[in-house]
Amino acid sequence: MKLGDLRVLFWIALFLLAGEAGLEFRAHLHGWGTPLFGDRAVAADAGGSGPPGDGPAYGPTRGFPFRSAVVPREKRPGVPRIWVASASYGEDVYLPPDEIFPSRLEALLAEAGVPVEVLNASRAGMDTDANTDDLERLGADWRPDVVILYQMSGDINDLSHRLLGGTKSRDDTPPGDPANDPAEDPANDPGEKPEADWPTRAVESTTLYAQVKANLSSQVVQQRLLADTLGDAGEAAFAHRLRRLVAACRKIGATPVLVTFAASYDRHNLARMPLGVRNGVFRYNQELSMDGWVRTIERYNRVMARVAAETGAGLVDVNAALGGKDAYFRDFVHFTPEGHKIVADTLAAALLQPPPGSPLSRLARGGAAP
Amino acid sequence: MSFNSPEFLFFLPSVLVIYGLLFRRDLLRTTFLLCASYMFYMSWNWRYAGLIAASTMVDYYVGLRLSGEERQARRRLLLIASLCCNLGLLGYFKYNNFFVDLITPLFGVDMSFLKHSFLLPVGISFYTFQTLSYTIDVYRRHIEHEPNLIRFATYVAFFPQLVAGPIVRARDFLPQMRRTPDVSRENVQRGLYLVFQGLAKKVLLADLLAGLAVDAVFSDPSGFSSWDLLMGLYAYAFQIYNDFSGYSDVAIGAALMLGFYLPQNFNRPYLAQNPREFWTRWHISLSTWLRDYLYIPLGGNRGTRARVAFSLMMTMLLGGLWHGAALNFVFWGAYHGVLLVLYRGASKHGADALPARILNRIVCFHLVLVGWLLFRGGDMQTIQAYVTGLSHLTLGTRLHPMFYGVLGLAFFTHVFPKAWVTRAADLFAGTPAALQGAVYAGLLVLFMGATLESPAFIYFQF
Repeated sequence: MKLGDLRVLFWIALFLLAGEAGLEFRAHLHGWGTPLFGDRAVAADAGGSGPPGDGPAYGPTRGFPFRSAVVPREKRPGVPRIWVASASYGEDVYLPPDEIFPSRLEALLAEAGVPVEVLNASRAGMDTDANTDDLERLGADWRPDVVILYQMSGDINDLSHRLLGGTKSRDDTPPGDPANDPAEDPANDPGEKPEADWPTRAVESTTLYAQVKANLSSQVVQQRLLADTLGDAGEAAFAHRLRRLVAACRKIGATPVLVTFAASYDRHNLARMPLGVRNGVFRYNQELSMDGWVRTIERYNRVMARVAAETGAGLVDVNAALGGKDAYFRDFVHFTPEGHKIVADTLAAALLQPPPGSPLSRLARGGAAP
Repeated sequence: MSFNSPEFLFFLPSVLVIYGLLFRRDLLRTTFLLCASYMFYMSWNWRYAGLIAASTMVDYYVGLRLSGEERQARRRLLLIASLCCNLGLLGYFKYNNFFVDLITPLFGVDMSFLKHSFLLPVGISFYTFQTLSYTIDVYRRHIEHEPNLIRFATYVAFFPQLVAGPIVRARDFLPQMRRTPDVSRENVQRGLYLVFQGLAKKVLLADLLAGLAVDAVFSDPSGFSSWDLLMGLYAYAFQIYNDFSGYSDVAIGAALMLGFYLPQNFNRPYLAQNPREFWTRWHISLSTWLRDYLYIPLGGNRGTRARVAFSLMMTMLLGGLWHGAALNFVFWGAYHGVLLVLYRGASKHGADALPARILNRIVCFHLVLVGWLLFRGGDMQTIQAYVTGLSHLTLGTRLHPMFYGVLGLAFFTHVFPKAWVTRAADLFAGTPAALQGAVYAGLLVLFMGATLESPAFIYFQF
């Protein structure tokens, strides 16, 4: 046997590498981060970033794991801290940090005479459980006064995998089944997902993989028989996650604020959803139909309101301001700069003029925990 | 590390390159192959590698002792010792909990303390049958024992077929190991073609049929029309065929790239004209194993009608049970046993005319289909719901057009004349390496796109 006998294998490797390099170069020209040509998020991670000029430096940096204006760990007296727990739509590495809603909120409150420090703990791929884990890990050190949760699609994705990922839907789980007990339900098990081996991780980090998943797999998924609901088990699991976050906030003396979730398309304009946006949704979720997404967001926003009322957490209705207004979104869930502005405006208004008796009243008075 | 995982995409070429570098050194080459095979197996669960090692050592030792033993009683004792060890391990890991559940109601006593919580060791049914065939053949003096432990261990653990077959006989494989493997550019290219053919069957046909219809219709049969249920059943027939024969193709192809020939495991089974022919075309390495080591020792075709029927039923019942420790597999085996007994008893007129041959094939395929319903249905509740749904004779479909396209493709690839396929493969093998590389790279991208959850091969669970 000679190595020359394996020449077809070398050709395969060559074609795949050439394809990857070509796609990466194309992505690089469009301003996207790639494994070969660098990643904007990585650059930010290495030493912080910020708008040119005299503006503040932005994280994340070593010792400041938030994508917001860098502040010392020690709190300034009388300056409340707001912890923003969200996902890629709160992190938004493709916009300058001062254009995303957490930083805009900080600026708006300062303009209104309520200086605050925003700690933007949002990261792509997070769900409410991951947000809670982060808060439990870092919250005691950074001592936020208010925790704002803007999160839902991460939970819908995760619960879809857990509840519908097998062959059986648990939509009709009978009462008394362990699946209806949040403590027993695997949907509520925040256990670590097993990490893939390095070959899988290597393949999944390529631009080729991302392109194929976005343009081919998502089309295949739409030919499946997708579920239209996550059922009662999904609703119970989401409520359980929200309660866990509220409890984590209370434990560190912070006021929890739940924010309803907005998507670019709802039941009124779903038929107009462009194919590119639709494909983007199915790239990450292979179980829930588009109709299922819209209905689940509606349903879980009601769950959020119910949990807020039941636990005494604050509630801000961003969905009322943005839901179904596709002009303010880049895709199904990520905002345009204008969309970020509206989110920040809505949050600022709710924090500055809370309804009577709201748990946000303390912040409106400029109060901060010592 | 499944054949359809990125890990295997890195593993196989790496093994081939190192294998090529060590090729001229016999001991190093074989030792490397053994290490690679154990590494492959341990990627699932390293603890269970001890089971293969134990099984290997037992049969190596028994083979060694049998070779120098002339006394029949001692020979029989050695054989029984090997059977007890191998079947004991298989029985404990695979069937213990099933039988405890089965007998508990009979005694009315809680016997759950007898159950264990071990996962089923991957491939145990395959390598157990493989080592058993070696010991039985040495006992019957059909083959010589293998004195080289590394060579014998490599035969047992050879990674291409370790997890889901084909079940390779020692008499076919060990002689290949004793000479320099037949590696050539032609074999590498033919092997690669088979690997990609197998992956295409798995990813583009089996997994898509499962994802587009089978999983959904079997999870809730009451939610579908009779038409969709029938399509779901057809789809499952082609899913399980493409899944398993795809695995066999990859195994045969990977082995060929290493210079070894593995036996054919499938021969377009749905073209069989009767149940007996079906079993000469489906999972050939298992059916011939059962024939040689179970059916013939039970009496085979000799004896009264009742005796032959008994042998057939026992063979098929145990064949069903081999697939899994569950009643549906037992019923599936029994069903095929009944088909074989009935076919044996029926008068046989040769069907020479084309229409008669086609009709026979259609009837035989639908008889097999009933078996697949038992096999896939899992529990009686699902099977009952499925049959009820079918009996309503309702039309209408929830299945997407792509499903019908994939089902049609699965059908045509199955019935396509074999000579044409072979000719196309030969033509492709004659094209420049760069062109082949480009086609395979394109196929890999297609596999990546068509793979949704990367489900395991169905026969891994057996």
